Amino acid sequence: MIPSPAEMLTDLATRITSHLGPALYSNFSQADAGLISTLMTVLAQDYERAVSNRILDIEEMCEIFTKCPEQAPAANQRKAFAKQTPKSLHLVDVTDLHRQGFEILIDLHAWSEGSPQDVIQQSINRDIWALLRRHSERNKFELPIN
Amino acid sequence: MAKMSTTPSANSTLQDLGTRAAQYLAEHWACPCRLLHIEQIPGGASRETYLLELDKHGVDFGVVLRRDPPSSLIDTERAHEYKTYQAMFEAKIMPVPEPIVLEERAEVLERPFSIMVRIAQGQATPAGLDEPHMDKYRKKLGQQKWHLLGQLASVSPASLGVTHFMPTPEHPAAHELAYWSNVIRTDALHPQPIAEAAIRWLEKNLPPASVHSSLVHGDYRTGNFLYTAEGKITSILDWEMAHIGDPLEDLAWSLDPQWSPNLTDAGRLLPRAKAIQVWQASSGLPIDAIAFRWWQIFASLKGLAIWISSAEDYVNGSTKEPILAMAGWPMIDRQNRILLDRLSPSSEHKYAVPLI
Repeated sequence: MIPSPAEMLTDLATRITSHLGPALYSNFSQADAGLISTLMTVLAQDYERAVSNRILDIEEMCEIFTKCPEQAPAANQRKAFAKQTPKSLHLVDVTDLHRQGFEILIDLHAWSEGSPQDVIQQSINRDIWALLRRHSERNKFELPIN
Repeated sequence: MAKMSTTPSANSTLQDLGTRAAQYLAEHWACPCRLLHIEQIPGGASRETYLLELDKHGVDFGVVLRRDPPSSLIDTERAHEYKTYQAMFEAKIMPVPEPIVLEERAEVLERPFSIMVRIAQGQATPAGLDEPHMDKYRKKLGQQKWHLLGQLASVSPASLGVTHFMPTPEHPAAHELAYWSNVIRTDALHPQPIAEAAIRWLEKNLPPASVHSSLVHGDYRTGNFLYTAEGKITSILDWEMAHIGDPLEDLAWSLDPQWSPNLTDAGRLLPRAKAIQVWQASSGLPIDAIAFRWWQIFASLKGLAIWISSAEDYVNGSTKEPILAMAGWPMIDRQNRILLDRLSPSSEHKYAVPLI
């Protein structure tokens, strides 16, 4: 068993950059090696956090969905979603539930923009933007360009 | 350390491609033409791009071969791009490579291709602009970059001769939004709440139809022009997304934070306000602040659409080019944060400065 797959991927990415890349003959191959190394770094960063990040998103969506008034869209789907758990903790199953949550969230977000004077809608709107902010921050990749 | 060659089969395939291209050009030019050297250029996301050194009737001659890939970041028409190069080369508004030939038959080099004269001087690498020796030339390059774009904006598409192969949309903003929204909704591999919020904002705030139409490059950014170590732009490249539209589209795209590692300098070259000033002086066009705000949000959405499309291409397409995965993963992540900064009511502006 590899004790830390993320660390392993990072080490391999570094190896590509420091050893294989410079030894390649063409600029095209060197650039390819650089891209592969960067993608392995990205994989390493996502490896540890992917399931956890999606679960956090799902939990935060559940909070918003249960806070919504009855007249907000997709009432039945919201209730059903809040009761669900992923079929397993495999990434594919967690991602599937996350997808369902994001689909409901998009409809809810559109609804929350409907009446700028409605206090509840505005509150839900702020909550959704805050969730999206946290979602994007925790999925951010630590790369030179980011 | 000894250099590792690419595999023998890859080398022979590359040589074979170059030899066949040289034979094709010999027929096209009706003069002897022999391959001296060929190499593939990295980063050609929309077409495979090769540099060829030829012996053309005893004279060294450089050309660029652009061949359709099995899969591409941007689904574009090669004939459209080629005709745009022809129009721009003849117009002499800005430097572009001279087109030589467009071959749409697949049987010559397995896939359709075009060939252009190689620009002898210049590199396109954005990171090269951050080298210390470029410190004194960045401002000069920025002046040229937005001056040239302003010049393009000031010329009518009819006078460039592009109206016979490009449609003129009645409402460019609505047209572009419909196109790129459809790309996102068709290609997204996972629901996109930030993109959807942007689409709703853009639909609600659609500006009136453009007063002024121009040829829009469609991807005018650092990385799509060649520059020399002495601070001269020698060529504007990658016209595959060119169309007739609102000139503010190109200006907004050129300023998108995606092209700037820091928050202040547009395209690593000039402060945003200065870039706009140069463009205005060159184009002579006024900037409607509300419309320009719309085009800046649109630019970030269009970027996101391209990255989403490339992710779909990587997963479902026939090629597994790493650049498609790169565009479709870290680039989506960054572009989402830029859009969030632009649209969220309580934006912290960590990834995008407030809109001008």
